[in-house]
Amino acid sequence: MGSTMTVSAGRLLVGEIDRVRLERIFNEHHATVWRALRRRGLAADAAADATQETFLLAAQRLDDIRVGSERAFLIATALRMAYSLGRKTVRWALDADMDQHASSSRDASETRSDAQLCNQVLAQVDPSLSEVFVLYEIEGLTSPEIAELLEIPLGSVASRLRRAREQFREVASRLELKLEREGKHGRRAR
Amino acid sequence: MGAARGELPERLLDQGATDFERRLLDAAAKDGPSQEQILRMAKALGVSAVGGAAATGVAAGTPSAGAAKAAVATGKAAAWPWIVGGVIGVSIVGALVVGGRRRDSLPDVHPGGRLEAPAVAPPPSGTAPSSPAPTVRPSAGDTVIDRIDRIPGRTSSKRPSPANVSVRDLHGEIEILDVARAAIAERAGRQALALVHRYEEVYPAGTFLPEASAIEVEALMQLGRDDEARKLAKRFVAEHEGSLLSDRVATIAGLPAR
Repeated sequence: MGSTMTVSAGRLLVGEIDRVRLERIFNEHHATVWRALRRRGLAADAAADATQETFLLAAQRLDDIRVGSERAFLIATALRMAYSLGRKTVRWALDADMDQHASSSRDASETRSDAQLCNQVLAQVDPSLSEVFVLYEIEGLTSPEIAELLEIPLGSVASRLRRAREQFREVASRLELKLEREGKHGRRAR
Repeated sequence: MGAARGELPERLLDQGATDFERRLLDAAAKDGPSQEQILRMAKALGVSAVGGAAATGVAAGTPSAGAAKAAVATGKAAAWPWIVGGVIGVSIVGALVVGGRRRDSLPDVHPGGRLEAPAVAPPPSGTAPSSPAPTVRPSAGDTVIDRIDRIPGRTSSKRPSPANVSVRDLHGEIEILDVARAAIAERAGRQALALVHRYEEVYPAGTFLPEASAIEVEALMQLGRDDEARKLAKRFVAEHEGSLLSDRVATIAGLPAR
């Protein structure tokens, strides 16, 4: 019993090490994973459930995940999960009348409403470009990480980002003008 | 845009964004699940959740120091395939916060990103340990009690004073409780109870006394000593009301939900 206990205790100590790692990557990246799933059209609660499943999968594959590459692994897993859930295309619900929704969203808490505004702007950007934009500008992934995640050439990351930026800034500018005209801007752009 | 292949310009949030663009992007980067959803996910995974504000920061991989950390809830066996039966998984970091109180005088324990035994940060200046943290090497025929007895400097006759808590002490405390949790996992309640009592004897002012008490409750339940377990659990809940550890202890002992 003694040697069995010692072996078991040793195994448990290894388990504890992995649990500690899982905890770290959960706290560092759960919001990123959740956002990735939301961008695939999942409702907030469904995205939380899918986020949990993503980390459960990661827990079983910890040995395969290089330290420092956890974020890319998690996003890739989340996107595959969203795909398997039938969410094949990026999406926030495209709003026929962005202006109307821009106005109503100002009633919610400011940060959440600004996040919704950002999503609405991104919904107007070419889907093949917005993914790169989001992964770089919002999630902070590097160019090689984005290329690997989206399975596109490294050079394509830069060109897609440039075009995505142009579209994003154009749409954001129109939205800002609209909000200013309606007096709902709240803060002025300098 | 950078001429080199794959070279990207500075992120808009860092350079070049208008105020309005920065506002949108910043909000999008901070968007995340609700605190309730975070805690639910953490509980299912058997890990501790950092405060919501920290967890929804810009995903640069650097969680900021946030609100007080919640103690961990029990994890599902499915999330932790190496663990059989109910195991109280206590986060080493979370263990430094008991019912919202943080023992700032003790060194932080951060496991970092390394695949090795949980690292212990260097102690505050002036309290450098005189020797490296002890490593207990099991030998053939060891019982867990034998293993604990070989932790240097820790015999039943020595009672460390709180003022002398060192990295070595923390390592020793963690060692004992890790093996006690292993005993719980193997449904060896008697062994777990012996280890908890040894812990309390060696570390009367131990950092992880609440966690030890939680293990004791579970060990007593495993041994069928339900009345004792519930009595201990009630006292624990009263002393640590509001902490997630007390919720877990209450659940283990079958106390009514509060």
